[in-house]
Amino acid sequence: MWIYEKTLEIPVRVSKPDLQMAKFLLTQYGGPDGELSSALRYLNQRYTMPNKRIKALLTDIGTEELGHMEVIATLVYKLVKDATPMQMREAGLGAHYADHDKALFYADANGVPWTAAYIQTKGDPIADLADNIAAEEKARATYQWLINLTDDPDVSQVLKYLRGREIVHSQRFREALFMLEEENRASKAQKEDDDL
Amino acid sequence: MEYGSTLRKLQEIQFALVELQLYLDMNPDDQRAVKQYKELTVQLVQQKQAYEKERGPVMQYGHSSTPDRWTWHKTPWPWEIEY
Repeated sequence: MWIYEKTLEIPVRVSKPDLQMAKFLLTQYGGPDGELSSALRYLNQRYTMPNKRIKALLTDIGTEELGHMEVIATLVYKLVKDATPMQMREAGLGAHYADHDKALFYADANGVPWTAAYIQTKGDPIADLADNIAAEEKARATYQWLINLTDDPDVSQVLKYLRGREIVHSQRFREALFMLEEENRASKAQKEDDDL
Repeated sequence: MEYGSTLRKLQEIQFALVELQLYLDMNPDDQRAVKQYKELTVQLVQQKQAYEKERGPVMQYGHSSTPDRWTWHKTPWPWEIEY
């Protein structure tokens, strides 16, 4: 069960409309390393994750990523809401307008629709955790590139916050991977002792 | 109290609890963190009540106290709030 909370994880403000930036930001909504991908990736891995701590971690990070999806959606919504169709066209959002008007859509910055192929699930805890760390690092890098693309201090502040959260998630997944590897080593050593 | 500051304070407490939750997932034996989590939980309940008194329910499905007049559909959604 999930329960919706009518608040954002952080306040989101934009200082001016910026349609091009909205187009770029869409990749963190429905692109390969975006928040939809992260949320679904982690929540989906939980069912077969053998470790208790990591099951909790996947649940909690997956839930936070859903919250981040709403932060990105809010940024895009606020950047686009007062635009005219012609302004959208001039900013490279003409194709988006033709297909979706101002509605958000799960697609990357080029308009390529989201696909489940973005999500990795191998069922092997070491493989999945290593993949999650890579996913967080890719999301962190994407936020950095997006920060480099904006001159709006309000947008930049939100993106820096999200970049920081990806770093924390990556650290937590690194701890999880380290813990699993240690446990594997210990049980292997135990088995070798038993075999003697 | 001003709309923005009540909400901001609520968001601060909520964020601290998210961060601590992730930390405790991997460090469940850290009693100092558990204590901090419990203290923040008390603050969260109080701040949520203060915010809901001003602005109506924050959570759905009965997890917020319900005013006599139904307001869930009337209060602004997170993307509509101007900070």
